Amino acid sequence: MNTRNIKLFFCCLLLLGITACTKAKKHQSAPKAVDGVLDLRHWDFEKDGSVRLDGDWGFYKNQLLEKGERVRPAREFIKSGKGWNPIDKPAASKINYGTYTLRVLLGKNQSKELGIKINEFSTAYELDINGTIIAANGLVTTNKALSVAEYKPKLCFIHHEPEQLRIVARVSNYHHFNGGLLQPIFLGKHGVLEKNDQTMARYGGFLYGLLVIIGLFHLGIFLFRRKETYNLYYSIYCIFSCVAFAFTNERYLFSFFGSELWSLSYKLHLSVVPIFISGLLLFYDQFFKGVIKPWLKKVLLWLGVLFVTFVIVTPTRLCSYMELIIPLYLLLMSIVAIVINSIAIYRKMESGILLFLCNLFFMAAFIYDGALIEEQMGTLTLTHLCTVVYVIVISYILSRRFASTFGEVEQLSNELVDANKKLEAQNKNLEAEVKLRTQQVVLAEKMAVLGQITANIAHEINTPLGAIKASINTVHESFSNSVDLSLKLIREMDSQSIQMLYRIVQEALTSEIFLSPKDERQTRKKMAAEMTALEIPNAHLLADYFVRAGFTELQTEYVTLLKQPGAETLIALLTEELEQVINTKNVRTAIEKVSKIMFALKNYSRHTIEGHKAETNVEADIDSVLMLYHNWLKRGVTVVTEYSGISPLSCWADELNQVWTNLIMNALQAMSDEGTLTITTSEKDGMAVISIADNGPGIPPELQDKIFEPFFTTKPHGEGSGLGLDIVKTIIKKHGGEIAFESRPGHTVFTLKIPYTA
Amino acid sequence: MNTIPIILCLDDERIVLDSLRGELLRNFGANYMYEFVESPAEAMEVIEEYYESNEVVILVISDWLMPEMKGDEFLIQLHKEYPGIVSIMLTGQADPQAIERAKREANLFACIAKPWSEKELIESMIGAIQSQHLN
Repeated sequence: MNTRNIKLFFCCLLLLGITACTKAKKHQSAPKAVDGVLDLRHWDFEKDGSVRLDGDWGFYKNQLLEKGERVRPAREFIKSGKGWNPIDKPAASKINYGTYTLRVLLGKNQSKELGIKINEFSTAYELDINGTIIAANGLVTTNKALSVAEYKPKLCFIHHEPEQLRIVARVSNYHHFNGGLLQPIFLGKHGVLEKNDQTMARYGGFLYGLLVIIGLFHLGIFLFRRKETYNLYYSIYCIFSCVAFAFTNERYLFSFFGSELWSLSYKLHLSVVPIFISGLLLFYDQFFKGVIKPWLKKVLLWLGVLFVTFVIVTPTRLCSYMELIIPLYLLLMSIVAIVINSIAIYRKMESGILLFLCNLFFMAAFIYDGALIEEQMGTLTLTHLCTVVYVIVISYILSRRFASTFGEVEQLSNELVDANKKLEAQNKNLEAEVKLRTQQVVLAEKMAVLGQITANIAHEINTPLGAIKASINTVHESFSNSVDLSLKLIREMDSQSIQMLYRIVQEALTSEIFLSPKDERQTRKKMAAEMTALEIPNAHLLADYFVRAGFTELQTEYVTLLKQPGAETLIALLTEELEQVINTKNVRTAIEKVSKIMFALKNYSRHTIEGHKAETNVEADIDSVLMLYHNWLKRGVTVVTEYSGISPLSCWADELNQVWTNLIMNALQAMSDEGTLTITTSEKDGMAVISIADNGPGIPPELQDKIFEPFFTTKPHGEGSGLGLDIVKTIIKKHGGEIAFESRPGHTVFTLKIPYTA
Repeated sequence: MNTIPIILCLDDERIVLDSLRGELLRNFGANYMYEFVESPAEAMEVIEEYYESNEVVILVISDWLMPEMKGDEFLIQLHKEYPGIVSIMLTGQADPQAIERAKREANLFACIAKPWSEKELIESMIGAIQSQHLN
């Protein structure tokens, strides 16, 4: 990118170089006026071009020679281009008016179609050639009050083809610190001079047009985008330097304002310089942010302000001294610009090198123009050209920056769209994953509950199993003994006694009496005492069997049986039989217990067909859960159930089972497996009302809002998903019901209300 | 006055006690007297009664998971008051630490898992009683 710019730049440079050279070529051998006479007899206007009337003009200080007035030849001579009060040689006394004279000697046939181009005499003049007034600016007068200044270049035709031209110019100046001939006068073929003027006008037009358009364009950009102030400052530079240019050379703007507003024009002409310079300074400041120290900026801007104030406030005679300051001011600004650009290059800022070269070139051009000001035809041409290049280059740089900003924006926009797309895709992925994870968590919960239940059941069944095992062993052992004893008894005992024996056994089998061990002990003691009194042997043991078999009293017929002689065998057999009866009953009890558990399990794991409700005995279901958790509850929880026998509820029973399980487990965990769990059911307002209460420490008030939140849990990490109450709430909602809770230390109760008709 | 030693069985589940009874009777018969209680409180009561009538409870077979008090707690308490009593724990689930504690502080002879094998139980009991005699 950078190399392309630099190549572009050097092309422009080359172009300008060529232009400068071609311009410089022309002014080589024109003669100069000497002692008020300019000898052009050997000058061919067609071949050698136009001549600038330079040299020593005759000067009549403080005299206004009338036209045609014959007067002694001039004794004083003044150099053209310096004026009668140049800064290096100020006049001792004030000169307000004077007369310039020049005699031009022309060669044969050279005076055909001649023209004279007069830029101006400062600040008012009347010029006649050979007695005919051919040009005038303003009002030449000895009276200050009447004087009128005017800057208006004139191109005049010289008629009558004279052999010599006696040029007399009366000049007066009350408006400038220096008066007289400060600008060149050209003598040449009228056609050529005219063409030159037109060329200058075209160039001027092009330059002004370019500056104004670019200035307005950037002003427009600034108005739309206030953020980038360098656009504003650049437009100020363009427009005001255009104005400055329009005041110089052909003095178009002076003509525009007219001679009455000459002072205004002049002040304006001076004031625009600091304005466009400040504009440029501020442009550099904003474009290369941070390079200019704020104090320096302030100083330079204040300089400009002082300049402008001075110009506005003082009369033109005084403020015209500012003309001398301007070149220094411009030079200073060029140097500052170059320094700024150097720092920008050092800091590797964008476009640093390009602007540096531009500035350098501009400064060089300016110095060149200044140095050659005496020899150039039309002042500041190189500066003009340089301005064009400068302005185009800066516009290019700004446009590039603008375009790159757009490019950046486009790119960012694309990136944003891409990022959004990616985000959307990611979101979808995450949602899917969350769904999956939630499902997994729910499943894990169910597995955990299942695990608990399985463990519980394993323990629950273990005990009856152990009992069955022991009892069956006993029965098994007892069998062979009882067979032996039976055979023996048949031999020894009469049939009546044997029958009595079996009656006792039958009664024992059918007896439904179950005493608590405590009562058993009491009864046994009593019976043992009785038996001992009756001298029945092994009273204690026998009483034990009798009581366990279900006898609370000792019948007299039994006593006779037992007191028979040779009753040892009988008693032995009786004890064996009774043992078998007792153990058989044990096995039955154990099996019943296991059945209960199995029933509870079957109830609990009953699957309802998806979408179909079924009439369910809620209380039985809750009991099932309690049974399945019996083992857990045994650890120290007292269960109190207050069922009011509510009607069957149409519901999804397996889901409600989850609810009971969850709430009961929560209660148990809250109580740390010790306390009282109270479950009540009732019917009210067409709703089944179930409450599960515990006397644990309660839910802290600050957490009460959160307990139904998914994934909220007070358990340590890894234990419990926190989805329990969330699932409970979802299920109850599905049933069209509501769940509420109350909690304070020592009493927490969850109340569920489910309507009978959804 | 009965000098037959007493074996006490403690379990909150009735059927365990019932099945134990059969086994003990078959194996030890009239050599011992047997008491079956459903709660630690009841156990202490019964032991107290016998103690007052100068009858000796020598062995306690106890469950671990009981509503009012865990087995190890009970046995430790028991041992404090009646250091002469040896004990065996018979249990479906027990905390290993609890068992250790009981062995240390309560003269626990052995811990047998439910469902128990008759042979193992009887052998343990014999072992326990013998160890008591030696003391």
